[in-house]
Amino acid sequence: MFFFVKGLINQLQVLVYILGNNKKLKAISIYQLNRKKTFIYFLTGTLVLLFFISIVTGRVKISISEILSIFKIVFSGDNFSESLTSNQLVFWWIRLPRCIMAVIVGMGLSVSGAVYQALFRNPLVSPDILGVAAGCTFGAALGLILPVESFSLVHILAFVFGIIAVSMSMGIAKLIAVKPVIVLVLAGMVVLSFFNALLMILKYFSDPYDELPNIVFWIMGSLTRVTWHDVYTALPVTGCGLVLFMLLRFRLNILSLGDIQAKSLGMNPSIFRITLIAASSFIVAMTVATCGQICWIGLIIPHMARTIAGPEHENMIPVTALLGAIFMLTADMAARSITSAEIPVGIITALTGAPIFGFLLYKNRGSGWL
Amino acid sequence: MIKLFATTTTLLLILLPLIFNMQASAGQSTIVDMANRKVTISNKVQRIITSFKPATLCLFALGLEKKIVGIDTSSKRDKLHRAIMPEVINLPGVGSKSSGLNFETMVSLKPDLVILYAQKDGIALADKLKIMNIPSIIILPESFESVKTTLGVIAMAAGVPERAELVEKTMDSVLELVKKRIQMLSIDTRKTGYFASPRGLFSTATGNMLQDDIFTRSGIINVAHDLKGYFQDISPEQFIKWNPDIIILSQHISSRVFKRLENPAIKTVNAIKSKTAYRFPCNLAPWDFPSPLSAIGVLWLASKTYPELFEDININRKIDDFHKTLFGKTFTQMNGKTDEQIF
Repeated sequence: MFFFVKGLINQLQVLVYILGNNKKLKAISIYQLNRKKTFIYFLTGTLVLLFFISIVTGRVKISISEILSIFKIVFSGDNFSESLTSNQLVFWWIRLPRCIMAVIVGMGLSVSGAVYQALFRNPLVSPDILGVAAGCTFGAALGLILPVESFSLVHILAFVFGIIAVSMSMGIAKLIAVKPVIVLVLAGMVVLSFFNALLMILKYFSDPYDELPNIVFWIMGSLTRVTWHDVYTALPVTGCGLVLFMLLRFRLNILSLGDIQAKSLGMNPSIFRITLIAASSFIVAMTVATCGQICWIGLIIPHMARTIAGPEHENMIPVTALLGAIFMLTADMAARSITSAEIPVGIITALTGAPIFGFLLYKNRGSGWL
Repeated sequence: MIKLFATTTTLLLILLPLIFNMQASAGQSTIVDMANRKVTISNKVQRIITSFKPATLCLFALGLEKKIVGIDTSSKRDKLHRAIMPEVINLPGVGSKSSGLNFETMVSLKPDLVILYAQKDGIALADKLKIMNIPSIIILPESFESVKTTLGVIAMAAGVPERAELVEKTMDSVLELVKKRIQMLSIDTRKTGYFASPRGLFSTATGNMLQDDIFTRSGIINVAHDLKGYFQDISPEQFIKWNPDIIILSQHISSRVFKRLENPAIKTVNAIKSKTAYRFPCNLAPWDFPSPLSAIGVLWLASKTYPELFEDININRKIDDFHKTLFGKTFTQMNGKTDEQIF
């Protein structure tokens, strides 16, 4: 709370400064004002505040005292399921895992996007460029039409095919071994098209009244299906990935300069590229396997972060993670709370993401950012 | 006497516009389909193509299955169709509403009549078929009344109007029986219900859909009645907030969703506590679908929800009789099962 208030005061000071210096508006960024750390504190505080708002917002009214009593029961070690009221059960088994998952997904997808954009030195790259999302979606669809009716099978197949897709992209790129970055992107497009075609074949042959609605519903990104089990699975993968990115974020700066510069600085770009791509792909595969395809987060959040924190990955990566979590948490809160029918979160991320991205493109025209 | 008068009036209201729109000419007649298109059709329709499941079910109920020369691909696998006419599996598949129809296959089958849907590319296909001098009709079965109109339009086009009367009469007798029993309930004693669509547990039928009509006729208040449009997704929290007394899962829903009912928060819902969550029967063809079978779906649902009102009725016998009248075989003879209990 202290950091949040401190950050808020600093941001107000920045705002006053900007308003008072209208002519310099374009030249000013928070990064230039050397307020990087306080801005990260501010975002952290915002995320904490938003998380709190998110867990008390929903179709079922749950009071703060009810929430507090849940945690009292949790920490007292009483018989958990028997002690909770209906509202408390909703909070513990539905809302809380969903909010936590929104944070995990938001952080995971946005940071993966930032890493991909740095590795491929291309601002239009998003995490599914190597076909990972297409592979995951195909795997899940396959799991849904197989006669074995198991939720775990759907998740496992989604994850396995996501990893197979990335491996195929990297394998093709290695075989060609000319201009590795461009070839990798092209190989990704080949694999993406291949898995999209396989998915279309599955959809074509699936029963239109039975299997097809199931596949369509699953593909559409949503956090409705999230359970504690999903949180336990996704958290270690995303957490380890984020820690790895934080540790290697300085290397990302070098990698984004190109292979020749990286080698001249004594770095082996291939090893780092493979490690970072593998980690990003694991995160994306885990996310798609759990929540389906959620668009835009991986593309626009890194751009927003770059505008705010600058291109240096030391600051940009944590800002990306925090912004991603805030964006996803807000989108999901809106998706489940605005109407009695749930709005697909993909619609909200696209509806808000597209204009924001358009604005960023306009704002940064001619700045050398693109 | 009142029942007879009501039935006759309903039939006349449905059939009169069609009768007046028919223009007799040498071996041909003109009818108006459900998209308000005037279609001239041969009086001796022998070769019919059906393009989606509700149309196929209506054709089978009207006893026109022997005239089918092309069928929507998914209907070839339906147990009901195979039980009535095993050779249905050998009929040429023309595609489906969801993935598209093969126009050239349809033309090559030289049909006298093609039955198409009103959504997606249905009307565009009908226009293309008209250029090829192949008559086609558009149908839109989405409620009990529109199912009856569909039966009337198809029967008129195929030259078997008396058969449509029989099917409608059979449907009406079942619906009337349920209506009389449900009338005994006061509004405040009616139970609330939730319908889970084939998309998943948290996707439900809105107030515009047939399933809402089935609920109403069964004396159940659909908790999602105020929602509009096609199947709508809802959050698990909204589901718990509605707290329905009965949960009905679509016959098409995957069994995977049963695991979701084990969530401790979901278990607080009345229907789960009282173990009144059912899967809409049956294994032959779904009863929660726009077809004449939806009438028997109403009887089944009402008897499950208010068993005390139907104690004196042998529901299985009613189901058998209904199938015998429509399809020539009883439900039991076709190995029909109603394994609807979830718990």
